[in-house]
Amino acid sequence: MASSSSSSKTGLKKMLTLKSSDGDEFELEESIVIQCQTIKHMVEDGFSLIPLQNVDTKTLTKIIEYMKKHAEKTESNKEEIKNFNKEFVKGSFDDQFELVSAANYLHINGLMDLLCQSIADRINNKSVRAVREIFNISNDYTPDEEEKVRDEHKWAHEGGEFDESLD
Amino acid sequence: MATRLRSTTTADILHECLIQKIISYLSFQEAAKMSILSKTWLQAWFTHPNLEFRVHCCKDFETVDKILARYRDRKIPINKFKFWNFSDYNSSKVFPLLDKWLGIAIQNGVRDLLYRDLSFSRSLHGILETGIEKIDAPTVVSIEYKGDRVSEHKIAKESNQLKHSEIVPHCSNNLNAAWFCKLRNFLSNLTSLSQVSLYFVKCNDINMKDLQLRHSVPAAQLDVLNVDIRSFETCPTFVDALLWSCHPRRLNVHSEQSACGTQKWGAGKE
Repeated sequence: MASSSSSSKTGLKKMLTLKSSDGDEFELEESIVIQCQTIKHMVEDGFSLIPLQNVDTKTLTKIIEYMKKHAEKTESNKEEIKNFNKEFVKGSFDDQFELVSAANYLHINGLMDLLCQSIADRINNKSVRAVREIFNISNDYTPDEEEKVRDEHKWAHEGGEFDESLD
Repeated sequence: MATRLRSTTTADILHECLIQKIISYLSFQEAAKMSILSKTWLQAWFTHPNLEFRVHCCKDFETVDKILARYRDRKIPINKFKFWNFSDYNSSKVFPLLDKWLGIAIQNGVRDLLYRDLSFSRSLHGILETGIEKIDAPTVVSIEYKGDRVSEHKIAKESNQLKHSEIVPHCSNNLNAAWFCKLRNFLSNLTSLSQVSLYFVKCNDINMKDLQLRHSVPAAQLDVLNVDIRSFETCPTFVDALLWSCHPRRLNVHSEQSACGTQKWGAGKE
């Protein structure tokens, strides 16, 4: 797909190659990729081929889509970016978990905020049982401990019906 | 090699630091509810940076006190501290506690403070006297109050970064010239405020002559004055009185009564 030599291709724009954990390579302009702090530091250290061992092709494709769009951000297209963000977070919980782990690893702060906010909004008002299932959480409390924690946070469990759905 | 998150040895899909981050985007109460999920989620809730409390009874005060003590002892950063007081405790009981809690919040770096009080017996005066005035709060950027009286009290150690203040007069009786005079004195003391929001559940005609005679301190210069009037009455002198109390560069008015003299108000702008 892309060569590992960077600056030779366009002459003007410095290019970088990102390599996913599946071995796929993506060539991108440096100006787009430096939104990602982890890569920015590697570029500063002189790398032009950047292997991302924790990010698979599917996730990397989504993240590149995000970085490309956000590199276009100006004063006048705020609405467009907002709509893009809204669409971007529509995937399943599992997709979002993959993305948020990758965004954390790559240090893309804007994307982290977007995803964490979206996940928080989606689990808001869900039942304890539903959230346990969504996050695949194993309950590591003993019955006594759980009783104690529930008692201490009784004020938070009051009021309303909780959403049992898993999406 | 691809280390898919699902196949890691721990049962949780996400790393602890990500759980913590996601929890910080939930409301304080919602995050507290999640503490029952597992020990990881309990730990993550312990460091939630945005504290929100709604107190109704004695037990609520104990809960708040316990939580704030944990933030103090573990030096956990606090970003927001919001407090809705629905209780009917008198000021002498509430303010010493509030004073202590505000102290912890400010010590731990709070940037956004909100105090709302639904009791008629407590006033903004009391809050300022016991809460804000004694505390040096250089990082606070936003304070909201809701009380029944506007204070003529000076804020001595006022934050120089305080950008926005909301004052919510909670009046059972009609407002009069004396009230606007207090408002003017109050605002003139808040030298670093650039934006003030005022909410009124109703408005009434003000005797402007009476107001003019009371002329005392120079009116405060504000950048922005937001006025929200939840009233259907028409009362142009009410707004004249507001503009007498302070001189905003920009006036934003929201009113239930669209014909409530907004043209006239616009003319009051600089």
